[in-house]
Amino acid sequence: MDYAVYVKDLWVSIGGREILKGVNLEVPRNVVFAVMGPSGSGKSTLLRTLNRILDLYEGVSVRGRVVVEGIDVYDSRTDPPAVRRLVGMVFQMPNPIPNLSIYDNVALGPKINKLVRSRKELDELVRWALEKAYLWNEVEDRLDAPASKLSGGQQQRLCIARALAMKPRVLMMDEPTSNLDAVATAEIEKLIIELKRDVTVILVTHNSFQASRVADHVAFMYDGQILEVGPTGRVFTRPAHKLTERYITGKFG
Amino acid sequence: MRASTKRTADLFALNSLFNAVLILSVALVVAVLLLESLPMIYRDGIGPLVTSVWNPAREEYGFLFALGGTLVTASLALLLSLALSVGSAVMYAEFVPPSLRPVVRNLMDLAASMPSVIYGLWGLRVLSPFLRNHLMEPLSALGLSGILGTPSPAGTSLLSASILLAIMVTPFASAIIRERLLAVPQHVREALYSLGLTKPEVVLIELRYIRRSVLTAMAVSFSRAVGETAAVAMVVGNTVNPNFFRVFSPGYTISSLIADQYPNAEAYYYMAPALFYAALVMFAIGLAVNLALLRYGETR
Repeated sequence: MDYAVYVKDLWVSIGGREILKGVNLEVPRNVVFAVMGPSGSGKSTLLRTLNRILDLYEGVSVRGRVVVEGIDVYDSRTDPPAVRRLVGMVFQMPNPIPNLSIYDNVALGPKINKLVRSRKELDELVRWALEKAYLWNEVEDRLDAPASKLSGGQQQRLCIARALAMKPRVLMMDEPTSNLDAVATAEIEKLIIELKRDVTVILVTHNSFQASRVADHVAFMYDGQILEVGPTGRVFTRPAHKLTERYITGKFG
Repeated sequence: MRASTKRTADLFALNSLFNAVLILSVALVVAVLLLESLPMIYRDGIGPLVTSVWNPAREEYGFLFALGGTLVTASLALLLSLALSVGSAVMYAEFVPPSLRPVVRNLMDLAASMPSVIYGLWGLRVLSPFLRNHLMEPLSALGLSGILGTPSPAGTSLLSASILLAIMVTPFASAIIRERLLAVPQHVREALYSLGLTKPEVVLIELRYIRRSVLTAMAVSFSRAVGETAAVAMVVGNTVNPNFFRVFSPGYTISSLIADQYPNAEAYYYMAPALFYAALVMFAIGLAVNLALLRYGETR
Protein backbone atom coordinates (compact mmCIF):
# COMPACT_ATOMS: atom_id res chain seq x y z
CA MET A 1 0.00 0.00 0.00
CA ASP A 2 2.71 2.44 -0.93
CA TYR A 3 0.70 5.40 -2.10
CA ALA A 4 0.89 9.13 -1.49
CA VAL A 5 -2.83 9.12 -0.83
CA TYR A 6 -5.04 6.12 -0.17
CA VAL A 7 -8.80 6.46 0.33
CA LYS A 8 -11.03 3.51 1.17
CA ASP A 9 -14.83 3.58 1.18
CA LEU A 10 -15.11 7.24 2.15
CA TRP A 11 -18.55 8.62 3.01
CA VAL A 12 -18.98 12.29 3.86
CA SER A 13 -22.15 14.14 4.72
CA ILE A 14 -22.53 17.84 5.43
CA GLY A 15 -25.62 19.01 7.27
CA GLY A 16 -27.25 15.60 6.76
CA ARG A 17 -26.69 15.59 2.99
CA GLU A 18 -24.47 12.86 1.54
CA ILE A 19 -21.72 14.49 -0.53
CA LEU A 20 -19.29 11.59 -0.95
CA LYS A 21 -20.79 8.12 -1.37
CA GLY A 22 -18.13 5.48 -1.01
CA VAL A 23 -15.04 6.95 -2.67
CA ASN A 24 -12.00 4.76 -3.27
CA LEU A 25 -8.76 6.30 -4.45
CA GLU A 26 -5.10 5.37 -4.81
CA VAL A 27 -2.68 8.13 -5.79
CA PRO A 28 0.92 7.11 -6.58
CA ARG A 29 3.81 9.36 -5.60
CA ASN A 30 5.26 12.15 -7.77
CA VAL A 31 2.52 12.32 -10.33
CA VAL A 32 -0.08 14.88 -11.27
CA PHE A 33 -3.38 13.28 -10.38
CA ALA A 34 -6.42 15.12 -11.71
CA VAL A 35 -9.92 14.74 -10.31
CA MET A 36 -12.40 16.04 -12.86
CA GLY A 37 -16.15 16.17 -12.91
CA PRO A 38 -19.12 18.53 -13.10
CA SER A 39 -19.68 21.07 -10.32
CA GLY A 40 -21.45 19.59 -7.33
CA SER A 41 -19.93 16.15 -7.89
CA GLY A 42 -17.96 16.32 -4.62
CA LYS A 43 -14.45 17.08 -5.92
CA SER A 44 -13.73 19.96 -3.56
CA THR A 45 -15.18 18.08 -0.60
CA LEU A 46 -12.93 15.14 -1.40
CA LEU A 47 -9.88 17.43 -1.34
CA ARG A 48 -10.95 19.07 1.91
CA THR A 49 -11.29 15.64 3.47
CA LEU A 50 -7.66 14.75 2.80
CA ASN A 51 -6.21 17.51 5.03
CA ARG A 52 -9.16 17.83 7.42
CA ILE A 53 -9.89 21.42 6.40
CA LEU A 54 -13.43 20.03 6.36
CA ASP A 55 -13.26 20.13 10.17
CA LEU A 56 -13.85 23.90 9.92
CA TYR A 57 -17.36 23.38 8.62
CA GLU A 58 -20.48 22.72 10.66
CA GLY A 59 -22.33 19.43 10.72
CA VAL A 60 -19.73 17.31 8.93
CA SER A 61 -19.58 13.57 9.39
CA VAL A 62 -16.87 11.41 7.85
CA ARG A 63 -16.80 7.63 7.57
CA GLY A 64 -14.10 5.57 5.92
CA ARG A 65 -10.34 5.52 5.83
CA VAL A 66 -7.95 8.15 4.51
CA VAL A 67 -4.19 7.55 4.60
CA VAL A 68 -1.81 10.28 3.49
CA GLU A 69 1.91 9.45 3.37
CA GLY A 70 1.40 6.69 5.92
CA ILE A 71 -0.65 8.83 8.33
CA ASP A 72 -4.16 7.67 9.14
CA VAL A 73 -5.86 11.05 8.77
CA TYR A 74 -9.04 10.32 10.71
CA ASP A 75 -7.45 8.28 13.48
CA SER A 76 -8.37 9.83 16.83
CA ARG A 77 -4.70 10.13 17.73
CA THR A 78 -3.91 12.14 14.61
CA ASP A 79 -3.38 15.86 15.10
CA PRO A 80 -5.10 17.77 12.23
CA PRO A 81 -2.41 20.51 12.02
CA ALA A 82 0.22 17.77 11.59
CA VAL A 83 -1.70 16.42 8.56
CA ARG A 84 -2.02 19.92 7.11
CA ARG A 85 1.72 20.50 7.37
CA LEU A 86 2.20 17.43 5.18
CA VAL A 87 -0.46 18.37 2.66
CA GLY A 88 -0.22 21.80 1.06
CA MET A 89 -3.34 23.37 -0.36
CA VAL A 90 -3.98 25.91 -3.12
CA PHE A 91 -7.48 27.28 -3.37
CA GLN A 92 -9.84 28.24 -6.17
CA MET A 93 -9.71 31.89 -5.25
CA PRO A 94 -6.15 33.21 -4.83
CA ASN A 95 -6.11 33.88 -1.08
CA PRO A 96 -2.92 35.54 0.12
CA ILE A 97 -3.32 37.01 3.60
CA PRO A 98 -4.19 40.54 2.45
CA ASN A 99 -2.50 42.56 5.18
CA LEU A 100 0.80 40.64 5.04
CA SER A 101 3.68 41.39 2.67
CA ILE A 102 4.73 39.07 -0.14
CA TYR A 103 7.64 37.85 1.98
CA ASP A 104 5.52 37.32 5.10
CA ASN A 105 2.89 35.37 3.21
CA VAL A 106 5.50 32.79 2.24
CA ALA A 107 7.38 32.98 5.55
CA LEU A 108 4.31 32.65 7.79
CA GLY A 109 3.96 28.85 7.75
CA PRO A 110 7.64 27.93 8.20
CA LYS A 111 8.08 30.64 10.84
CA ILE A 112 5.14 29.67 13.04
CA ASN A 113 5.78 25.95 12.62
CA LYS A 114 9.46 26.54 13.42
CA LEU A 115 10.78 24.80 10.31
CA VAL A 116 13.78 27.15 10.21
CA ARG A 117 16.37 28.03 12.80
CA SER A 118 17.54 31.45 11.64
CA ARG A 119 16.47 34.48 9.68
CA LYS A 120 19.01 33.54 7.01
CA GLU A 121 17.51 30.08 6.64
CA LEU A 122 14.06 31.63 6.38
CA ASP A 123 15.24 34.07 3.69
CA GLU A 124 16.67 31.17 1.71
CA LEU A 125 13.50 29.11 2.09
CA VAL A 126 11.30 32.01 0.96
CA ARG A 127 13.53 32.57 -2.05
CA TRP A 128 13.53 28.84 -2.88
CA ALA A 129 9.72 28.68 -2.71
CA LEU A 130 9.23 31.82 -4.80
CA GLU A 131 11.69 30.50 -7.41
CA LYS A 132 9.87 27.17 -7.51
CA ALA A 133 6.63 29.06 -8.15
CA TYR A 134 8.32 31.17 -10.88
CA LEU A 135 7.52 34.34 -9.01
CA TRP A 136 10.94 35.33 -7.66
CA ASN A 137 12.03 37.39 -10.67
CA GLU A 138 8.85 39.43 -10.56
CA VAL A 139 8.91 40.23 -6.84
CA GLU A 140 12.52 40.08 -5.63
CA ASP A 141 12.77 43.87 -5.44
CA ARG A 142 9.46 44.36 -3.62
CA LEU A 143 9.21 41.55 -1.10
CA ASP A 144 7.86 44.02 1.47
CA ALA A 145 4.95 45.13 -0.71
CA PRO A 146 1.49 43.96 0.35
CA ALA A 147 0.45 40.74 -1.39
CA SER A 148 -2.79 42.40 -2.45
CA LYS A 149 -0.80 44.55 -4.93
CA LEU A 150 -0.02 41.51 -7.13
CA SER A 151 -2.07 40.48 -10.17
CA GLY A 152 -4.43 37.51 -9.91
CA GLY A 153 -1.98 35.10 -11.56
CA GLN A 154 0.87 36.35 -9.39
CA GLN A 155 -1.28 35.98 -6.27
CA GLN A 156 -2.03 32.37 -7.18
CA ARG A 157 1.68 31.65 -7.71
CA LEU A 158 2.32 33.32 -4.35
CA CYS A 159 -0.17 30.91 -2.79
CA ILE A 160 1.66 28.01 -4.44
CA ALA A 161 4.95 29.35 -3.03
CA ARG A 162 3.32 29.69 0.39
CA ALA A 163 2.25 26.04 0.26
CA LEU A 164 5.66 24.87 -1.06
CA ALA A 165 7.55 26.69 1.70
CA MET A 166 6.09 24.17 4.13
CA LYS A 167 7.91 21.45 2.12
CA PRO A 168 4.73 19.36 1.85
CA ARG A 169 4.72 15.82 0.46
CA VAL A 170 1.37 16.31 -1.27
CA LEU A 171 0.07 19.48 -2.91
CA MET A 172 -3.68 19.76 -3.41
CA MET A 173 -5.00 22.32 -5.87
CA ASP A 174 -8.70 23.15 -5.95
CA GLU A 175 -9.47 24.57 -9.42
CA PRO A 176 -6.41 26.82 -9.17
CA THR A 177 -6.95 28.52 -12.53
CA SER A 178 -10.70 29.01 -12.61
CA ASN A 179 -10.36 32.68 -11.65
CA LEU A 180 -7.42 33.41 -13.96
CA ASP A 181 -7.05 34.51 -17.59
CA ALA A 182 -5.59 32.31 -20.35
CA VAL A 183 -1.99 33.54 -20.01
CA ALA A 184 -1.91 33.10 -16.23
CA THR A 185 -3.57 29.70 -16.62
CA ALA A 186 -0.87 28.52 -19.04
CA GLU A 187 1.83 29.62 -16.58
CA ILE A 188 0.25 27.76 -13.68
CA GLU A 189 -0.25 24.62 -15.79
CA LYS A 190 3.43 24.62 -16.78
CA LEU A 191 4.31 25.01 -13.12
CA ILE A 192 2.06 22.11 -12.07
CA ILE A 193 3.90 19.74 -14.41
CA GLU A 194 7.27 20.79 -12.98
CA LEU A 195 6.11 20.46 -9.38
CA LYS A 196 5.62 16.70 -9.54
CA ARG A 197 9.38 16.22 -9.26
CA ASP A 198 9.12 17.46 -5.66
CA VAL A 199 5.59 16.64 -4.58
CA THR A 200 2.54 14.61 -5.48
CA VAL A 201 0.03 16.97 -7.04
CA ILE A 202 -3.70 16.36 -6.74
CA LEU A 203 -5.52 18.73 -9.03
CA VAL A 204 -9.25 19.26 -8.90
CA THR A 205 -10.66 20.75 -12.07
CA HIS A 206 -13.98 20.97 -13.85
CA ASN A 207 -12.06 21.50 -17.06
CA SER A 208 -11.36 18.16 -18.75
CA PHE A 209 -8.98 19.80 -21.24
CA GLN A 210 -6.84 21.04 -18.38
CA ALA A 211 -6.78 17.53 -16.93
CA SER A 212 -5.66 16.11 -20.27
CA ARG A 213 -2.89 18.72 -20.57
CA VAL A 214 -1.25 18.29 -17.17
CA ALA A 215 -2.26 15.03 -15.52
CA ASP A 216 -0.62 11.61 -15.53
CA HIS A 217 -3.69 9.99 -14.01
CA VAL A 218 -7.27 11.18 -14.01
CA ALA A 219 -10.32 10.26 -12.03
CA PHE A 220 -13.82 11.14 -13.15
CA MET A 221 -16.21 12.01 -10.36
CA TYR A 222 -19.95 12.11 -10.62
CA ASP A 223 -22.56 12.48 -7.88
CA GLY A 224 -20.22 11.70 -4.99
CA GLN A 225 -18.59 8.68 -6.58
CA ILE A 226 -15.54 8.03 -8.69
CA LEU A 227 -16.88 6.46 -11.87
CA GLU A 228 -13.59 5.90 -13.58
CA VAL A 229 -9.88 6.25 -12.87
CA GLY A 230 -6.77 5.49 -14.91
CA PRO A 231 -3.82 6.82 -16.89
CA THR A 232 -4.77 10.04 -18.70
CA GLY A 233 -4.09 8.68 -22.19
CA ARG A 234 -6.27 5.62 -21.68
CA VAL A 235 -9.20 7.48 -20.07
CA PHE A 236 -9.27 10.12 -22.77
CA THR A 237 -8.94 7.71 -25.71
CA ARG A 238 -10.94 4.74 -24.44
CA PRO A 239 -13.24 5.86 -21.61
CA ALA A 240 -14.84 2.88 -19.93
CA HIS A 241 -17.91 4.71 -18.74
CA LYS A 242 -20.53 6.33 -20.92
CA LEU A 243 -20.72 9.42 -18.68
CA THR A 244 -16.95 9.87 -18.80
CA GLU A 245 -17.08 9.88 -22.55
CA ARG A 246 -19.87 12.43 -22.62
CA TYR A 247 -18.01 14.58 -20.08
CA ILE A 248 -14.64 14.63 -21.86
CA THR A 249 -16.24 15.35 -25.21
CA GLY A 250 -17.91 18.38 -23.68
CA LYS A 251 -21.49 17.10 -23.86
CA PHE A 252 -22.16 18.10 -20.23
CA GLY A 253 -20.41 19.54 -17.20
CA MET B 1 -37.55 58.35 -14.13
CA ARG B 2 -38.03 62.08 -13.68
CA ALA B 3 -39.96 61.52 -10.46
CA SER B 4 -37.36 59.14 -9.00
CA THR B 5 -34.53 61.59 -9.75
CA LYS B 6 -36.50 64.24 -7.95
CA ARG B 7 -37.11 61.92 -5.03
CA THR B 8 -33.37 61.16 -4.81
CA ALA B 9 -32.66 64.89 -4.81
CA ASP B 10 -35.22 65.40 -2.05
CA LEU B 11 -33.68 62.63 0.03
CA PHE B 12 -30.25 64.14 -0.50
CA ALA B 13 -31.49 67.54 0.63
CA LEU B 14 -33.14 66.01 3.70
CA ASN B 15 -30.01 64.08 4.55
CA SER B 16 -27.85 67.20 4.17
CA LEU B 17 -30.26 69.07 6.41
CA PHE B 18 -30.03 66.45 9.15
CA ASN B 19 -26.26 66.47 8.94
CA ALA B 20 -26.16 70.25 9.07
CA VAL B 21 -28.41 70.25 12.15
CA LEU B 22 -26.18 67.63 13.77
CA ILE B 23 -22.96 69.54 13.13
CA LEU B 24 -24.59 72.79 14.20
CA SER B 25 -25.83 71.35 17.48
CA VAL B 26 -22.40 69.92 18.36
CA ALA B 27 -20.88 73.30 17.55
CA LEU B 28 -23.50 74.93 19.73
CA VAL B 29 -22.67 72.63 22.67
CA VAL B 30 -18.98 73.44 22.35
CA ALA B 31 -19.81 77.15 22.11
CA VAL B 32 -21.86 77.00 25.33
CA LEU B 33 -19.06 75.12 27.15
CA LEU B 34 -16.58 77.72 25.99
CA LEU B 35 -18.76 80.75 26.81
CA GLU B 36 -19.70 79.49 30.27
CA SER B 37 -16.11 78.70 31.17
CA LEU B 38 -14.69 82.00 29.88
CA PRO B 39 -14.75 83.81 33.27
CA MET B 40 -12.60 81.05 34.77
CA ILE B 41 -10.26 80.87 31.78
CA TYR B 42 -9.96 84.67 31.88
CA ARG B 43 -9.20 84.68 35.62
CA ASP B 44 -6.81 81.70 35.97
CA GLY B 45 -5.69 80.65 32.45
CA ILE B 46 -4.46 77.07 32.55
CA GLY B 47 -4.05 77.27 36.33
CA PRO B 48 -6.99 74.92 37.12
CA LEU B 49 -5.43 72.25 34.87
CA VAL B 50 -2.21 72.12 36.89
CA THR B 51 -3.32 72.63 40.49
CA SER B 52 -5.28 70.38 42.84
CA VAL B 53 -7.09 72.80 45.14
CA TRP B 54 -10.86 72.75 45.56
CA ASN B 55 -11.72 75.47 48.02
CA PRO B 56 -15.02 77.18 47.12
CA ALA B 57 -14.91 79.34 50.28
CA ARG B 58 -11.85 81.09 48.80
CA GLU B 59 -13.06 80.68 45.19
CA GLU B 60 -10.09 78.43 44.39
CA TYR B 61 -10.78 75.79 41.79
CA GLY B 62 -7.84 73.72 40.57
CA PHE B 63 -9.22 70.48 39.14
CA LEU B 64 -6.04 68.61 38.25
CA PHE B 65 -7.08 65.90 40.76
CA ALA B 66 -10.27 65.28 38.75
CA LEU B 67 -8.52 65.47 35.40
CA GLY B 68 -5.96 62.96 36.69
CA GLY B 69 -8.73 60.79 38.10
CA THR B 70 -10.46 60.75 34.72
CA LEU B 71 -7.27 59.87 32.85
CA VAL B 72 -6.28 57.17 35.35
CA THR B 73 -9.71 55.50 35.53
CA ALA B 74 -10.34 55.70 31.78
CA SER B 75 -6.87 54.34 30.93
CA LEU B 76 -7.11 51.50 33.42
CA ALA B 77 -10.61 50.73 32.16
CA LEU B 78 -9.33 50.80 28.58
CA LEU B 79 -6.56 48.28 29.33
CA LEU B 80 -8.88 45.97 31.24
CA SER B 81 -11.62 46.16 28.65
CA LEU B 82 -9.10 45.48 25.88
CA ALA B 83 -8.35 42.14 27.51
CA LEU B 84 -11.98 41.43 28.42
CA SER B 85 -13.49 42.41 25.07
CA VAL B 86 -10.87 40.71 22.87
CA GLY B 87 -11.12 37.63 25.08
CA SER B 88 -14.89 37.47 25.02
CA ALA B 89 -15.08 38.21 21.27
CA VAL B 90 -12.60 35.40 20.53
CA MET B 91 -14.54 33.04 22.78
CA TYR B 92 -17.73 33.96 20.96
CA ALA B 93 -16.41 33.70 17.42
CA GLU B 94 -14.17 30.65 17.81
CA PHE B 95 -15.41 28.55 20.70
CA VAL B 96 -19.12 29.13 21.32
CA PRO B 97 -21.07 26.66 19.15
CA PRO B 98 -23.29 28.50 16.63
CA SER B 99 -26.41 27.07 18.22
CA LEU B 100 -25.60 28.84 21.51
CA ARG B 101 -24.56 32.14 19.91
CA PRO B 102 -27.98 33.85 20.04
CA VAL B 103 -28.21 33.23 23.80
CA VAL B 104 -24.74 34.64 24.45
CA ARG B 105 -25.39 37.58 22.15
CA ASN B 106 -28.65 38.46 23.90
CA LEU B 107 -26.93 38.35 27.28
CA MET B 108 -24.20 40.69 26.02
CA ASP B 109 -26.78 43.07 24.56
CA LEU B 110 -28.64 43.03 27.85
CA ALA B 111 -25.41 43.93 29.66
CA ALA B 112 -24.89 46.78 27.21
CA SER B 113 -28.38 48.17 27.64
CA MET B 114 -28.49 48.09 31.46
CA PRO B 115 -28.87 51.60 32.96
CA SER B 116 -25.55 52.76 34.35
CA VAL B 117 -27.02 53.60 37.73
CA ILE B 118 -27.71 49.88 38.21
CA TYR B 119 -24.03 49.19 37.56
CA GLY B 120 -23.38 51.90 40.15
CA LEU B 121 -25.52 50.19 42.80
CA TRP B 122 -23.84 46.89 42.12
CA GLY B 123 -20.42 48.54 42.18
CA LEU B 124 -21.23 50.14 45.52
CA ARG B 125 -22.67 47.12 47.30
CA VAL B 126 -20.77 44.22 45.70
CA LEU B 127 -17.70 45.22 43.69
CA SER B 128 -16.17 47.85 46.00
CA PRO B 129 -16.37 45.82 49.24
CA PHE B 130 -15.13 42.75 47.37
CA LEU B 131 -12.13 44.58 45.95
CA ARG B 132 -11.42 46.12 49.33
CA ASN B 133 -11.44 42.78 51.18
CA HIS B 134 -9.76 40.59 48.59
CA LEU B 135 -7.42 42.86 46.68
CA MET B 136 -6.77 46.27 48.21
CA GLU B 137 -6.51 45.35 51.90
CA PRO B 138 -4.15 42.37 51.37
CA LEU B 139 -1.92 44.39 49.03
CA SER B 140 -1.92 47.35 51.42
CA ALA B 141 -0.94 45.01 54.23
CA LEU B 142 2.06 44.00 52.13
CA GLY B 143 3.18 47.61 52.28
CA LEU B 144 1.90 48.78 48.91
CA SER B 145 -0.32 51.47 50.39
CA GLY B 146 2.60 53.89 50.14
CA ILE B 147 2.41 53.58 46.35
CA LEU B 148 -1.21 52.64 45.69
CA GLY B 149 -2.99 54.48 48.51
CA THR B 150 -5.18 53.47 51.41
CA PRO B 151 -8.63 51.97 50.81
CA SER B 152 -11.69 53.62 52.33
CA PRO B 153 -14.00 51.61 54.62
CA ALA B 154 -16.54 51.12 51.82
CA GLY B 155 -13.90 50.29 49.24
CA THR B 156 -14.98 53.16 47.02
CA SER B 157 -11.88 54.11 45.06
CA LEU B 158 -10.40 55.03 41.69
CA LEU B 159 -9.65 51.33 41.19
CA SER B 160 -13.26 50.29 41.82
CA ALA B 161 -14.39 52.93 39.34
CA SER B 162 -11.86 51.70 36.74
CA ILE B 163 -12.94 48.08 37.05
CA LEU B 164 -16.62 49.01 36.98
CA LEU B 165 -16.02 51.11 33.86
CA ALA B 166 -14.17 48.24 32.20
CA ILE B 167 -17.13 45.94 32.86
CA MET B 168 -19.56 48.56 31.54
CA VAL B 169 -17.76 49.33 28.26
CA THR B 170 -16.79 45.74 27.44
CA PRO B 171 -20.14 44.69 25.88
CA PHE B 172 -19.86 47.52 23.34
CA ALA B 173 -16.20 46.93 22.50
CA SER B 174 -16.72 43.18 22.39
CA ALA B 175 -19.63 43.50 19.95
CA ILE B 176 -17.51 45.53 17.52
CA ILE B 177 -14.62 43.05 17.68
CA ARG B 178 -16.75 39.90 17.48
CA GLU B 179 -18.64 41.11 14.40
CA ARG B 180 -15.35 41.79 12.62
CA LEU B 181 -13.90 38.44 13.71
CA LEU B 182 -16.95 36.67 12.29
CA ALA B 183 -16.48 38.66 9.08
CA VAL B 184 -12.92 37.44 8.47
CA PRO B 185 -13.33 35.81 5.04
CA GLN B 186 -13.59 32.03 5.12
CA HIS B 187 -10.92 31.77 2.41
CA VAL B 188 -8.41 33.63 4.60
CA ARG B 189 -9.21 31.37 7.53
CA GLU B 190 -8.84 28.25 5.35
CA ALA B 191 -5.50 29.51 4.06
CA LEU B 192 -4.21 29.85 7.62
CA TYR B 193 -5.42 26.44 8.74
CA SER B 194 -4.06 24.80 5.59
CA LEU B 195 -0.56 25.88 6.67
CA GLY B 196 -0.86 23.62 9.70
CA LEU B 197 -1.48 26.44 12.18
CA THR B 198 -3.29 25.65 15.41
CA LYS B 199 -6.42 27.50 16.50
CA PRO B 200 -4.63 29.94 18.87
CA GLU B 201 -2.11 30.75 16.13
CA VAL B 202 -4.89 31.41 13.64
CA VAL B 203 -6.76 33.60 16.15
CA LEU B 204 -3.66 35.73 16.77
CA ILE B 205 -3.22 36.34 13.04
CA GLU B 206 -6.93 37.12 12.64
CA LEU B 207 -6.68 39.68 15.45
CA ARG B 208 -3.76 41.29 13.64
CA TYR B 209 -5.88 41.30 10.51
CA ILE B 210 -8.73 43.17 12.24
CA ARG B 211 -6.58 45.42 14.44
CA ARG B 212 -8.17 48.56 13.04
CA SER B 213 -11.51 47.42 14.40
CA VAL B 214 -9.88 46.67 17.75
CA LEU B 215 -8.64 50.27 17.79
CA THR B 216 -12.09 51.56 16.91
CA ALA B 217 -13.52 49.51 19.76
CA MET B 218 -10.94 50.97 22.12
CA ALA B 219 -11.77 54.52 20.98
CA VAL B 220 -15.43 53.87 21.74
CA SER B 221 -14.52 52.37 25.12
CA PHE B 222 -12.33 55.29 26.09
CA SER B 223 -14.95 57.90 25.18
CA ARG B 224 -17.60 56.11 27.16
CA ALA B 225 -15.25 55.65 30.12
CA VAL B 226 -14.30 59.35 30.12
CA GLY B 227 -17.91 60.49 29.95
CA GLU B 228 -19.58 57.92 32.20
CA THR B 229 -21.04 59.73 35.21
CA ALA B 230 -23.71 58.07 37.33
CA ALA B 231 -21.99 54.78 38.07
CA VAL B 232 -18.60 56.39 38.59
CA ALA B 233 -19.99 59.05 40.92
CA MET B 234 -21.33 56.22 43.10
CA VAL B 235 -18.12 54.19 43.45
CA VAL B 236 -15.21 56.60 43.00
CA GLY B 237 -15.51 58.05 46.51
CA ASN B 238 -15.87 61.73 45.57
CA THR B 239 -12.87 62.93 47.50
CA VAL B 240 -10.30 65.51 46.46
CA ASN B 241 -7.26 63.31 45.95
CA PRO B 242 -4.23 65.15 44.57
CA ASN B 243 -2.39 61.81 44.38
CA PHE B 244 -4.80 60.46 41.79
CA PHE B 245 -2.38 57.70 40.75
CA ARG B 246 -2.92 56.11 44.21
CA VAL B 247 -5.80 54.09 42.87
CA PHE B 248 -6.75 52.34 46.15
CA SER B 249 -7.78 55.72 47.54
CA PRO B 250 -11.05 57.44 46.81
CA GLY B 251 -10.90 60.25 44.25
CA TYR B 252 -12.84 62.26 41.73
CA THR B 253 -13.22 62.16 37.97
CA ILE B 254 -14.29 65.23 36.00
CA SER B 255 -17.75 63.87 35.37
CA SER B 256 -18.27 62.82 39.00
CA LEU B 257 -16.93 66.21 40.15
CA ILE B 258 -19.49 67.99 37.99
CA ALA B 259 -22.34 65.75 39.11
CA ASP B 260 -21.34 66.04 42.76
CA GLN B 261 -20.52 69.77 42.93
CA TYR B 262 -22.81 71.48 40.45
CA PRO B 263 -25.82 71.57 42.84
CA ASN B 264 -23.72 73.91 45.06
CA ALA B 265 -22.45 76.05 42.23
CA GLU B 266 -25.13 78.74 42.46
CA ALA B 267 -23.78 79.79 45.85
CA TYR B 268 -20.40 80.81 44.41
CA TYR B 269 -19.16 83.12 41.67
CA TYR B 270 -16.59 80.96 39.94
CA MET B 271 -17.62 77.39 40.65
CA ALA B 272 -19.96 77.06 37.67
CA PRO B 273 -17.38 78.50 35.23
CA ALA B 274 -14.77 76.15 36.73
CA LEU B 275 -17.04 73.13 36.23
CA PHE B 276 -17.81 74.17 32.64
CA TYR B 277 -14.08 74.57 32.09
CA ALA B 278 -13.55 71.03 33.39
CA ALA B 279 -16.29 69.77 31.08
CA LEU B 280 -14.64 71.49 28.13
CA VAL B 281 -11.33 69.79 28.96
CA MET B 282 -13.06 66.42 29.24
CA PHE B 283 -14.69 66.93 25.85
CA ALA B 284 -11.32 67.82 24.32
CA ILE B 285 -9.67 64.70 25.78
CA GLY B 286 -12.36 62.40 24.45
CA LEU B 287 -12.15 64.02 21.02
CA ALA B 288 -8.34 63.95 20.90
CA VAL B 289 -8.08 60.30 21.93
CA ASN B 290 -10.75 59.32 19.42
CA LEU B 291 -9.07 61.15 16.57
CA ALA B 292 -5.65 59.77 17.49
CA LEU B 293 -6.83 56.15 17.73
CA LEU B 294 -8.90 56.37 14.57
CA ARG B 295 -6.04 58.02 12.70
CA TYR B 296 -3.64 55.34 13.89
CA GLY B 297 -6.17 52.72 12.88
CA GLU B 298 -6.51 54.14 9.41
CA THR B 299 -2.84 54.45 8.55
CA ARG B 300 -1.66 51.03 9.73
